[in-house]
Amino acid sequence: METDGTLIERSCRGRPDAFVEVVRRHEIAVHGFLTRRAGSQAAADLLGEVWLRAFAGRGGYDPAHPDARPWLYGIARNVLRAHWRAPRDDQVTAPEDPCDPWEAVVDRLDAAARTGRLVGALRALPSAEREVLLLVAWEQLTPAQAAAVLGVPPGTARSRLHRARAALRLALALEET
Amino acid sequence: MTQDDTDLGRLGRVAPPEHDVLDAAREVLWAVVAQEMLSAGEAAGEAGQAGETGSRRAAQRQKDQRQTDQRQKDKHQTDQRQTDQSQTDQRQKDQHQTDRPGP
Repeated sequence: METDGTLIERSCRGRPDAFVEVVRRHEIAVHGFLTRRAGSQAAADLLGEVWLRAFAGRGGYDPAHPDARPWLYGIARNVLRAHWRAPRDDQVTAPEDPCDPWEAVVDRLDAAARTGRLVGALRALPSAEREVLLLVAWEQLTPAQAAAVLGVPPGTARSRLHRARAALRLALALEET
Repeated sequence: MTQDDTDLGRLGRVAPPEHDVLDAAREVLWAVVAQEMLSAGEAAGEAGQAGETGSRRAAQRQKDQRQTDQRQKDKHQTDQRQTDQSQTDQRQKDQHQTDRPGP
């Protein structure tokens, strides 16, 4: 099977339709990424925008990377940031940090989960640490892939993940006592 | 993967998307892909047309060259014939004068 890198490279060399195969491979995962962070309605609205941006930016993709998923998550993240920054009719006040809509995420969790200790512990994490943690836990990425999504060095992502896990363990242990 | 990660993973579980949601997003992409393919096709067509024009020009140049060569050849032959004729005439004239009885 051809790698994503090969397909993207081919799509840049006169076969733009090869890019659609890359989209087919990752569409459910990218939709899940958007849904977990913005809800299913917004995900449905934003998914096409992710593909358009990815297609427009495919010339900058390094074909040596066989798996395009972290790159696509990075684009989806930028689309989400633009979505959160854009003023909306249903938004009375702008969120304090438009790139960290954790409260909105919590709102979408069911009531049982919302009262859970884990959500409380997550809420207490700095957003940069929480983001790495959720990329690993929710999107099944390695720390290096999470670093690629966030545009930070792998070492930075690893240390953020380490701090997030330590803080989470501590918070949960404190609640038990 | 720790237990916390497993619990977190459960927390982030979402329903799989409807097919029409994926199809609609792919349609958006296809519109741009098709546009690019069309542009590439038109560019290739123009290049082909340019190539055809170039070939026509080259063929015309070859034809012109052939005609010029032929004209030069014809001219050369005409000149040669005229020269030969002049020489023949001169020889005949000389011969005529030689054959004439002396005074």
